[in-house]
This record gives sequence, C-alpha cells and structure tokens, in this order.
Amino acid sequence: MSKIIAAILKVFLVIYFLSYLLLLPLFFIFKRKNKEGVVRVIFYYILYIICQEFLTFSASFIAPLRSLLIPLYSSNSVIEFSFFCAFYFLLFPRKHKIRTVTVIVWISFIIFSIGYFHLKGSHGSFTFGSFVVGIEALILMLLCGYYLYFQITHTLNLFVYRTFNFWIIVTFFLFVSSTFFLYLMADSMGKSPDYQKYYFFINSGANILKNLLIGFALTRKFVQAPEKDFTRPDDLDLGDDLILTREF
Amino acid sequence: MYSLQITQNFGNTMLIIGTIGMLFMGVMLVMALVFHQKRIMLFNKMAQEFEKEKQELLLNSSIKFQEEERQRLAADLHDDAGPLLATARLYLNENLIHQEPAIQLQSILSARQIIDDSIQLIRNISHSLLPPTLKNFGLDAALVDMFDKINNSGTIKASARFHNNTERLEDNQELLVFRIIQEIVGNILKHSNAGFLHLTQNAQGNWVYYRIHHDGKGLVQKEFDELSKKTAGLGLKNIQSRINVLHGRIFFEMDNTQSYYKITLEIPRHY
Repeated sequence: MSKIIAAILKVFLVIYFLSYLLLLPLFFIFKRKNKEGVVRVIFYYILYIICQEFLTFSASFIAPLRSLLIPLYSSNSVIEFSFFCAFYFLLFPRKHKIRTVTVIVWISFIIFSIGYFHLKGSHGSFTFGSFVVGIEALILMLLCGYYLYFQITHTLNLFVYRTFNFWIIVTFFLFVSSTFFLYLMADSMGKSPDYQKYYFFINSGANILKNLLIGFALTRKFVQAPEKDFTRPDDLDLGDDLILTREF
Repeated sequence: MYSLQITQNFGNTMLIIGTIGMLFMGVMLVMALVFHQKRIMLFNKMAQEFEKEKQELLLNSSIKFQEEERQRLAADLHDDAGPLLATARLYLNENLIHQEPAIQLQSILSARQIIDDSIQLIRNISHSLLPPTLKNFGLDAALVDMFDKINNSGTIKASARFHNNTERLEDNQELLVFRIIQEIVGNILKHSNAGFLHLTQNAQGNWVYYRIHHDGKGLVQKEFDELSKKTAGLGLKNIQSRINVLHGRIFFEMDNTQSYYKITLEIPRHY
C-alpha cells in the first residue's frame, strides 16, 4: 500500500515539476513574436515562478538555505501581486478608470505589506504573512471579478474563453480561490503535521492547475479589451432653446 | 491536549471544506460567465440576422423608391411636357405658311407661350431632382431656401439657423442630409398639423448635428422604429437607409418641456 502511495507521490511530483518546465517551451512556441506588454508580463511571471520554485526547492533541502524559506514565501505574495497588477493594468484600454484604481491598490498593498512585515519583524516574530496573503487574495478575487464583469458588459464578437487574457484571469482567480484557506491558516497551523501534509497536496495541486491554465492560455490569442463605445450626450444642446425663446 | 486535537481537526476540516468550496465557487463563476456569454453571443447572432433582414428591407424599399421616382419623372414628362410640346408642334405645323400673317403671329405667340411653359416645367422637374441652391451654394443655403419657401407660404412659421458650418460636409453627404431633412419636413407638413418648424445645425468634433423642432403631432423613437419596419412606411425607410449610408444616427424625441417634438440627426464627417 505504502509503495502505491509512494508511486502516486512520485507521479504527482513529476507532474508538478513538468508543469513548470512546460511553460517556457509553450511560450516560445506560441508567443515568441508577440510584443504585447500583457504577454511580456506573463513571460516575466513565468520566469519568476520557475526561479522561485527552484529557490524554494533548494532551500528546503539545503540546510544553510533553510532560513530563506519564510522570506521567500512572504515576499512571494507581494511579487505575485505586483505581476498581477502589471498584467491587469495593461489589460484595460488607456484612460480606463480601472488602471488608476489598479495603481492605487498596488501602491497601498505594497505599503501595507512592508508595514506589516516590518512590524512583525520588529517584534521578532517573522511569519509566513497569512494576513497579507489573505488581503492579497481578496483584492485579486475582486479585480478578477471586475474583469469578468467587464467581459459580460463589453462583449466582443469573440468567445471570451478563446482569449489569452481570459484564461490568465481565470488562472489567478482559481489559484487564489483554491489556496485562500491554505495560506490563511498557515500562520496558525503551520507547525501541525496534518496541515503540512495538506499543504503539500493543496499547494502542489493548485500550482499544477495554475501552470496548466497558464500553459493553455499561452496557446490562446491575446485580445485587447474593447474601448468604450461612443455615447451620445444626454443633454445635447444645439442652441435651440435660445432660438425658440427668442423667436417663438 | 484533547482540546488542541479537536482544534486541529476542526482546522483541517475547515481547510479541506474551504478549499474545495472556494475552488468549486470559482469554477462555477467562470462557467456561469462562459455560458452567459454564449447566450449573449447567440442573442447577438440573432440580432445580426434581424439587422440583415432589416437591411434587405431597406434596400428593397430604396429600389422601390427609385422606381417610384422614375415613374413620377416619366409621368411628369409624359403627361405634362409631352402634351405641351405636342400642342406647340400643332401650332407650328407646315400649314402655318399658308395662313394669314395675323393667324401666323397668333400661332407663333401661342407656341412660344407653350414652349416657355415647357421650359418652366422641365426646370421644376430638374429642381425637384437636385435643387440648384444645394449644388451651387451648399446645404445651409438650400435648407434656408427651403425653410424660407415654407415660411412664405404663410401656413406654417418656419426658420433655419446654422451655428457652426465652417467646415462643410462632402457633396454627397450634403445631398443625403438634404434628402433626409426634405423627407422629414414633408412628413411634418403632411401629417403633423404643426404651427412652427425650426431647424438648428451645430457641430462638435467629428459630428455634425441637425435638429428639427415642431409643435405638431410627431413621432417618438419607438414609433419610428415600428413604422420603419412596416412595409408601408416607405419614406421612413428611405430616411433610415440614407442614415445608414451616412453612418449616422437619428433620434425622434419629445422636448424636455413635453411641448415640442424634436428629430435629431447625427452625421459623422469621417467614418
């Protein structure tokens, strides 16, 4: 029985690492010539998650590097959020209000995270940062929700599930949804062996799902969100009232 | 120790239920969006088909209108110009040289009068096809001329004012706008029983606006849309097809005071 479990674990690990290794070839096959800012951001994000995974994996097995694990996990939420904000900012048309909102939210989150970790660090209790991750997840879900709402209200003549942007948003949305409780409980239950077991499966599963969805997104076509339609001013005044009063 | 175990078990259960619940909720939300968009796309497809049918209807009505124009022109030439010229020919037949000089003079004068009438008739037909003011002096002059003529008839008070006409539309655009306004004004004179009629023009960026105010019985957008779908409303269909050619828009509304009807044309200079 234990041999079967060990074999399943091995397969799981192989899929986990393969899902990371799959991303770069897919990018170079489908998006190599794409110069869109949004696609470039995702390319840098792919590089980041591969490096981050490599560092975390190394830190887990090399004893002198183990002290890096918590800072790596903690900084991940801030860096990941920054990538998402950059992607989200570029996704919308110029002069769209959500761009300004994204910048404000990003700056506020960075200030909040630095303040939070600084405060925790000064008390000598450097943690995973469940609170920060929880806030990040909520903001990400709200922003993703807004984008999906935007898709409903600004329907293109193209099915949304055929676009790169839609699948990236779905990736982030499902990833933060599936890891929301896991990261939220990390600070309080992190030392429990059961939690660590669940952490491995849920986190790995969510990462596999994320990588597969990003991989799938890379095969899709990027479509810029539509500009707002020209709308006729409600009180279009052509100067009639003046003439009507004067002459009639 | 026991309570710690319970807390941990509760936490683990929460973690599993929460994770599955959140993932399920996320997947459901995404699926709901995809299905919703599919429904919208289906609706849009139906709307496009409906629009295609409408365009065909407009095209047919445009062809029908052209045919009616030709028939009217043929009737004018055949019923009015033809008999006039035939009568003039009768006066100027070969027997005229054998007549008394006084009768000859009388015949020549009569024939000249008939030829003058024919010239006037042909001029009128020509003007109804393309007003010379529009060709020579542009849309503003043609419309002012049209409104002056209506005003001078004494049955309705009509005026036109151009606020911003420094940059004129293309000639073909002006002709189409003139035809649209001519049709609207014709309808107002025929059906509305209005006491006054006022045209205003203004421009803003790429858009040129024309608005007609009148105090008679008018149409609102819903009525216009319904009437222009019916086979009978040929004039309204022509308005709509010309608007489509211009890539413009037309709005039939009531004034804020609910006393006047207003028809606003929005024409892009470039599209």
